[in-house]
Amino acid sequence: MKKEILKFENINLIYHTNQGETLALKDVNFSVYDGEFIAIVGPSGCGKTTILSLISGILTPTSGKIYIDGEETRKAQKKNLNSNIGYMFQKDHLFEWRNIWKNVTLGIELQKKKKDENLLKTADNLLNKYGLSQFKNSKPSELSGGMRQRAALIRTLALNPKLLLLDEPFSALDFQTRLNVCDNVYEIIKNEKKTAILVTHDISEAVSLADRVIILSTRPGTVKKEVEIHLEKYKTPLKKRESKESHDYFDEIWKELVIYDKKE
Amino acid sequence: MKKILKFFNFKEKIRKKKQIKLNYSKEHLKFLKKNKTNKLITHSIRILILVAIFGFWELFTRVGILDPFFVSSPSRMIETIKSLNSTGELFTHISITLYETVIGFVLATGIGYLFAVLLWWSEKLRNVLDPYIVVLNSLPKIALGPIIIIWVGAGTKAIIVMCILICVIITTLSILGSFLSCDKDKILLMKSMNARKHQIFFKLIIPNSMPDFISVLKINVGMSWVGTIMGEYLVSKAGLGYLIVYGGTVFKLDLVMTSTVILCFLAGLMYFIVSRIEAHFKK
Ligand SMILES: Nc1ncnc2c1ncn2[C@@H]1O[C@H](COP(=O)(O)OP(=O)(O)OP(=O)(O)O)[C@@H](O)[C@H]1O
Ligand SMILES: [Mg+2]
Repeated sequence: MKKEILKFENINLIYHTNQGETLALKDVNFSVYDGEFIAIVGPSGCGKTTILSLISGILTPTSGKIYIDGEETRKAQKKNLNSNIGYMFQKDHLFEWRNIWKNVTLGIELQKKKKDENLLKTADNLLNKYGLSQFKNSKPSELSGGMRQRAALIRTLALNPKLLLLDEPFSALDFQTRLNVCDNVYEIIKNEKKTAILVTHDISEAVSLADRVIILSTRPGTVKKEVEIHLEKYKTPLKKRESKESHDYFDEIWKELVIYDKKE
Repeated sequence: MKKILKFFNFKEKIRKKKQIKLNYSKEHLKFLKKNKTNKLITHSIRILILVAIFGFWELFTRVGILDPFFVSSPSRMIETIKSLNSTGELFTHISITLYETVIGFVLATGIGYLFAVLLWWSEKLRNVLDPYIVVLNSLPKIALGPIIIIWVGAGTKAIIVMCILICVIITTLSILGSFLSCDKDKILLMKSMNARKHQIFFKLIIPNSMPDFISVLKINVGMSWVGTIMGEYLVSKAGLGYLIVYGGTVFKLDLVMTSTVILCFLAGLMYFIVSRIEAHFKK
């Protein structure tokens, strides 16, 4: 049995605003194990982003417990917690006024670890490895969409996080680029042996990338079903996408989502 | 002087241009040439318009279509400048107005910016002060003229205060708006990397607002001239605004026109400097 990296235990989350309170998550339970690639799918507004915010410590649960590396997050020092987690957003959010190197080392700079040769070397290696070394001194505007997303991923990886949170990181890209970047990101994450949680609207994407797909219900979000994906024999997400088995997985997940829509 | 030259970077630019040209294809060189010609044409037409205005102005006043008593004329303006210059008055008036405007501009921008920083930092303060800022913004500042005069005296100080009042609120509002319009996800990204509030401010909010800051500078160039001239109308005993008011009351249209043209020139110059700064930052 692999090591449990993350655990949600009866998590509830209520948003309080002037318009009233919104129960976003209700009794959410799931675990993530070391080296796994998890995809979370669910209808719009079901609380996917909320789950990632909870993991990263930007939000705290209304009730329930979150364990990271076996430690309850509320007790754990927030500082420790954050440096174990890398967050990647829908847009690359590269800072246009910084060159790629300065963008990639932003986290290192923020945490005042500029003197840490190892971290800087890691960042440098990542850039070399994934074909961005000659763009170190370029401004983000000189890069293509796919390259930008890769740079954003390397920025996230530069702090050497254990757990990667990806909130629809491909949805801003056009379809062609998207398939490419998917392959790239998958390769990088698997090479670097990271645990990743991907939020997506796209079922094919979920099936082609993840080892396990967690399906959420409409709001208030709760775990409807978990589907294990066994497509290990296909090496890249693109090949997985093309495989026959992937269609069966697609149908299985699709049904869950559609049933929920009908009930509404 | 050397520093100024360096800032405008003329030499460097020419060198770079030459270097780049070597690598271009024939078609691209052609395109560049056409572009250059087009630019040249635009510039020539601009100058032509200016020459035409002054030329017809002079002509019409000479042949009697326009009465130079009411509209003055370029030659009379040159005479005015000469006579003002011979007594040294010209320099005094220009430098006083310029001084007031530049000081007003710098102080207003600085104070406005600091205030925006404060309001960004504290949401509470922002919410509390919101209605006051709105009212102050819509208040016609000229109405405060008498109060200013009583409080700081009818001198240069009053003019600078007037200039500051006119620019400061709009500076604060624009800069604050720019601060607040920063992408929420970018802030989240910083937070997810453990950034402190001051890090978010200096590494994200400020650089992100730079383009808006430049446009505020441009707006303030115009506004600070408005402030200074308005102030001079109210209180002054010297300066270009004073010359205009004085010329108006004694019906010396030559003086009024001359001062106005000099004002145009100065405002244009200041705008030019700001746009150089902008180009410098855009690189
Ligand atoms: N800051 C907030 N304040 C109040 N309500 C919020 C806030 N953020 C999210 N919500 C509500 O909580 C619910 C879940 O939001 P969340 O952003 O997690 O959904 P999502 O699954 O990521 O949606 P999408 O697929 O559209 O990105 C939504 O109904 C939303 O309206
Ligand atoms: Mg979302």
